[in-house]
Amino acid sequence: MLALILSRLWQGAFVVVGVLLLTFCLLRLAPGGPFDGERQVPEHIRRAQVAAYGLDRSLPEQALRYVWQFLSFDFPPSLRLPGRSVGEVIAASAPVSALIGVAGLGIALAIGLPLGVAAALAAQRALDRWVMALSALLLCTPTLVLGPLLGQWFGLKLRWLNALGWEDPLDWVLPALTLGLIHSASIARLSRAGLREVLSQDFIRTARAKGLGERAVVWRHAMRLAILPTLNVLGPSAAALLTGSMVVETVFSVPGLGQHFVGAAINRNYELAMATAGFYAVLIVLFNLGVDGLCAWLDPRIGRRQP
Amino acid sequence: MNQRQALRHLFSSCTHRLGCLVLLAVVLSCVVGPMLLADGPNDQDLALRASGPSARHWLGTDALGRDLLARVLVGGRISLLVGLLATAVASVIGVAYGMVAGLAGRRVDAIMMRVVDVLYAFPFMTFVILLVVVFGRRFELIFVAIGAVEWLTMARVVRTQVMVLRDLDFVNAARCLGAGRWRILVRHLLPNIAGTAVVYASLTVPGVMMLEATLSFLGLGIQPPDASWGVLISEGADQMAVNPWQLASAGAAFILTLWSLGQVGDALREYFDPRQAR
Repeated sequence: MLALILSRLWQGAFVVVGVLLLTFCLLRLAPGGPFDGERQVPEHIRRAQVAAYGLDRSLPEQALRYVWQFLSFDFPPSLRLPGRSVGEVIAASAPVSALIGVAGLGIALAIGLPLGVAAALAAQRALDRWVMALSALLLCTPTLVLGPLLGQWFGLKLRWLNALGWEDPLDWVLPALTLGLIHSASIARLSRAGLREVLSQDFIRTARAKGLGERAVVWRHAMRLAILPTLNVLGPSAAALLTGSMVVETVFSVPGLGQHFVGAAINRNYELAMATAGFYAVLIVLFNLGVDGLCAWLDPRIGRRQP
Repeated sequence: MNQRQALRHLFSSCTHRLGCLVLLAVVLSCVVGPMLLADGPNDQDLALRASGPSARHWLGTDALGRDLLARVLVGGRISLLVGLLATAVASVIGVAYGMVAGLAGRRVDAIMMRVVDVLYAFPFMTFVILLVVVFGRRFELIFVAIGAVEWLTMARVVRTQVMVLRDLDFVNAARCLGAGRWRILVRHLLPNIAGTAVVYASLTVPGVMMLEATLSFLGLGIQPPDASWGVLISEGADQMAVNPWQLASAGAAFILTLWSLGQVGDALREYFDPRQAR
């Protein structure tokens, strides 16, 4: 178990550094620089500007500096947002994205798991068919359609919540609900398939023969294994959740990381773009680590099999 | 199960058959439809702006007075084309990578698959966005960028398949007859992988189209006045309070197409890979 976590952390460090270096290379391949759009300034001022941000050094040196700054949380002043350091921008927007992402995941699990279990227990009956049909539909619904619809309905028609902005303490609900509903579909399908598979195994028959009640059989014995396929997909879907959160942040005008990333890439705001990409990578790595740990705890065989 | 039985089985499920028909209908109407319409996708009818369905404009018009039906159909051409081309790019990369890893064996295989594992944890959206920002918003770049990040699952599946196949007797027989590595790869392994590859390619298309729509939504994909479904959906979302028809029509077309693609993919999977199917 400890070995598993350590090996994953080691791998994760590679991922984060890899993401940072790749982002750096891509940004530097792009034509144009951060000071292009501004009014013409005398040559010596421009040179001083470039030197102040360390842009006059060799590329490998710059890359290493960026990576080091990120790893040591020592963020430089932002290139395009004067007076605000990259650290401040991230500190202001990362909690927003994280809140939406985590709440979305929670909603997805809260809706998807019970529906999947109910569908598996009602195999081939009406409830099962409904859950499957509904999830098939939701799986094809992009966030960009569901988001505006929910905003229109709950925000403008019913006036329960704000359709736009990030002022009210309840403004996280609509973005998170959009993400959660869409991800609940795959969770429902996976947990249904997982539970049906497990329920047909021998140890379940043993548990039933022992005289255990159906509730104990399902929740204590079967679910422990049945949930593994769902968890395994949660790792990669963290990336999808972040992707979705970029769209959702745009739909609901939420000041999260996503908008900063797109803006920073377009404006060649090197430091902010790198820091945002790196932060996304850290989030995904940590999330995957949590999922792996949970899997190993639920099914001890997994922890032992890993190198 | 012989070939004919299997073929009959291919579309035995009701929803699979329906999905196939819907997909055919969508593709046909997107390809042929715009030629039959009186209005082009960029013709403006300034008297009728943001209107609902009428006899002249079956799905209404958008905020600039352009016929929505024409725009949805032409947008569908672009969305489907991006979906196909990006999937082709992803499949070529994935099959090549998976075959090399599967054939090369131990050391190389372990390294190559570690790379795939690590790439799975990459925040891909950031890379697609970077690629598009860096190299400009050109049409051919969008599908290359999407294809470049969507090949991982294909590589894994193909590798597993190759590892099973390479130890089978017919491959050994070919090797004994003196066939070289390349010959075995191209003549003996590739035909046997084709089925699986087709299945996973068809399952990749919906995700690819979703990515394209997301990019267009963020303003990084197809640029106006051209439209893809992503562009139409994002315009429709802006206009929703005034004219809900645009979001409804573009969104419905998109969802319907993705659903039918999923059904066709499932049907193909049951045909080529019965054990994988539920």
